[in-house]
Amino acid sequence: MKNIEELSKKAHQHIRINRDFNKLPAAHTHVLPLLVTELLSSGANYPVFLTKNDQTGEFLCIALLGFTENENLYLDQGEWQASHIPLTIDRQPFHINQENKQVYIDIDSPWVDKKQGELIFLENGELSPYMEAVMDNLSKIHSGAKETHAFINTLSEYDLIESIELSITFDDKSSEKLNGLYTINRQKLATLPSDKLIKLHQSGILEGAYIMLNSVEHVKSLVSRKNKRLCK
Amino acid sequence: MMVLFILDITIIFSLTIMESILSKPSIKSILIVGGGSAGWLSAGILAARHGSTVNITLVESPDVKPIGVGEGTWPTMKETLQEMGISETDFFRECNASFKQGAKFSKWVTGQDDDYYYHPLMLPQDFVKTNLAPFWSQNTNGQSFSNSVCFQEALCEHGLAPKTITMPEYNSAANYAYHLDAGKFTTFLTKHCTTKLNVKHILTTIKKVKQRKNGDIECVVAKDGNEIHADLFIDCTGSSSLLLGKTLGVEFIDKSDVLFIDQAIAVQLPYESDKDPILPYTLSTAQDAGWIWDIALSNRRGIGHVYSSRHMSEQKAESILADYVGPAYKNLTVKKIPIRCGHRKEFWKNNCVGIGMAAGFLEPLEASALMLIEISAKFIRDQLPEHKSVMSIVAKRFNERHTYHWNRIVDFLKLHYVLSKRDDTAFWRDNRDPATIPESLTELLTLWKYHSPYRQDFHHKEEVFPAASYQYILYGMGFKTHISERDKSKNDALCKQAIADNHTMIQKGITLLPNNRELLQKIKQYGMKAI
Ligand SMILES: Cc1cc2nc3c(=O)[nH]c(=O)nc-3n(C[C@H](O)[C@H](O)[C@H](O)COP(=O)(O)OP(=O)(O)OC[C@H]3O[C@@H](n4cnc5c(N)ncnc54)[C@H](O)[C@@H]3O)c2cc1C
Repeated sequence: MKNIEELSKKAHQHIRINRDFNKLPAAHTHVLPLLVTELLSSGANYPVFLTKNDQTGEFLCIALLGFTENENLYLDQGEWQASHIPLTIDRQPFHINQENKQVYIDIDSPWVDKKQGELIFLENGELSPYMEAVMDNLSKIHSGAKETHAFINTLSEYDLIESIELSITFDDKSSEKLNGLYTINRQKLATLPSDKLIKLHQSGILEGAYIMLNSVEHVKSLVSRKNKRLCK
Repeated sequence: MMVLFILDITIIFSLTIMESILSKPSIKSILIVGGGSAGWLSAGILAARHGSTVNITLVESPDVKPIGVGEGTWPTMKETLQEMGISETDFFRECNASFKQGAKFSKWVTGQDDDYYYHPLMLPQDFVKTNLAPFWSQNTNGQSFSNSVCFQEALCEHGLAPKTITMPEYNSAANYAYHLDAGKFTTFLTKHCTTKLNVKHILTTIKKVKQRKNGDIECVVAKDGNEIHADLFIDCTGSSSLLLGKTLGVEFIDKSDVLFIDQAIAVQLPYESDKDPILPYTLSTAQDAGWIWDIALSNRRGIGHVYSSRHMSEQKAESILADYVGPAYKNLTVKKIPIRCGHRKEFWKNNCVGIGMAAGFLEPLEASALMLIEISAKFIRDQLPEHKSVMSIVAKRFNERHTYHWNRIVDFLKLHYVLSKRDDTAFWRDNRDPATIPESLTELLTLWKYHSPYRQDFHHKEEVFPAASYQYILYGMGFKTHISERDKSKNDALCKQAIADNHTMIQKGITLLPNNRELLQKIKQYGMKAI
């Protein structure tokens, strides 16, 4: 369970963050939500799709990390093998209040440590360079939520989203079928009337759309990661 | 010379064709008279297909209000709305709609407290492959028919919705129909038809109908003297049947000798709290001289007592309804509606078709009225005569089909009464008097003693009630079909598997599907996606 406290020098001066992915249950997942602000770096590493939030039915942008529940093929012996870690994980165990930008820490997080890891505050009370980077990520989260919403809404409004099914057979002949994934219809995107295309371009959504479309290529490397594990 | 001669002939030939086209004009305009559910559903169904080529106008009286009941539907309504291009989310939000997964008949067989059975909206498991009824009757394992062959009864008993919020509009795990607010529904359709489907809307009362010598309707005349002309008229004026009945004089065939219900008392009961369950089915509870419907919308319930005034006084009927509703009853507006049970002898005469209450009405036991409106309007949509010259042929086919439909509905409704074992009041005993049972039904009941109704037993592809519905009523009410040796061992393995599969579906459904109220709230808050 989460035990959230407002981040303060006084209370958290001696706390360290020990980024051991093996210990973090949230990292052992086959999908992670993404913000549009991290689309470029995510699309360079993972297949990116849309899926529906199972509580609200609303579309989310996600990185696909594995083929079955709790399977993260980018995690190897506690190491995250990618040049970008989705912000929802990377910023752990910190949270930001969307309204007043106040930062909180989950002191029950398995990453909170007394001995090992990165300090949050330096001796002099200033933020550590590590924490500066986290703060940067948190502000990206803060500003990215609205943008992500607009990105998805526009794709949906322009009727560009289509559902796809991934059927994959692995080297050991086992197979997986993934439902509930959506992507952009390339044909529809290419044939949009020019006024709409220009709008998409100006708002940066067009670039995001192509990043998402092209990232589907990473499904292949995801499959080979899986095959390697099956061989072991 | 020769060449010229041939040319001449072709010219003359094409001229005669031209002439025949000109003298037999096509149908270019349709006037729908009446703006209740029948009028607006017809308008939407016709305009979605023909709105750009045919002038479709709906005229309704601002003074005569639609009947304002009729809130239970059939799954056909899904396709109907979808074909009109309606967003299901908008429909749910604006009509306070809820999911209906069938009807639960309470106290219809013995009248005891534990007496109930379901008529779900899905076919028995593997219905296309095999008839489970004979197998079930030999191996009930203490389970009801509907619970053994269909997973929907369990969903209803658990108060679950037929889908999750991530499923696209009009898609679901279990089949469903709607409960809807009748008043809001006509307002919703009015907006959709006039803004999206090119339907012209006139608000005025029709005072007179002008006919041609051949009986065709030439035009209707409004209060202010304005004439509205059209090639085809659709009478949706409700029980007044202004065009079909009053003007064209089509006879009314009374069915009150078969179905005794002739009065309705209706109320609308808001939920006490936003935690009250919203039943995902229509609850029909038998009473001494009729029954009470209980239809749950997202914001209120619609409850009504329909009864036979030949068997019960209005005062008694009202006190039964008051007891059912509870203390809140005294604050509710009570609506009393007489029911004239029967239908017109013809539904399409000359250039006029009656749809809805103008064509007839039978007690709302199986919510067949709106469905029949949809079927009628779709028939006109699909068979819209290209030329006036073929109108009488289309009319004849329409009348044959609809006479068949009405008779099947009468039989099907009567079946619910005939199979009851209730002996406590004259109403139930009189209902089993052989003199009140149509011959066609008696015949079927005899047949079903030896043979359970299955796919090929009914004639039309578009049956109002399919064979599966008859199975649910028959075996839900304890009817016994004698299983011959020949039928006994057939497909045993297949049947066992189907019943096991259904059991698995029940477990899956119960774990995966959300509470009905919860899903309705999510639809209001987040909406459903089109994909
Ligand atoms: C008690 C009861 C319960 C029911 N329950 C169900 C149910 O659960 N499910 C179901 O499917 N059906 C049910 N029905 C039937 C259903 O209500 C009707 O089939 C449906 O509402 C269609 O009615 P309508 O449009 O034909 O008539 P109405 O609603 O009566 O509409 C008539 C229209 O004609 C117009 N009009 C009349 N005269 C004139 C004139 N002179 N000039 C201009 N306009 C005129 C009126 O303004 C009105 O718009 C029930 C009916 C009753 C009585």
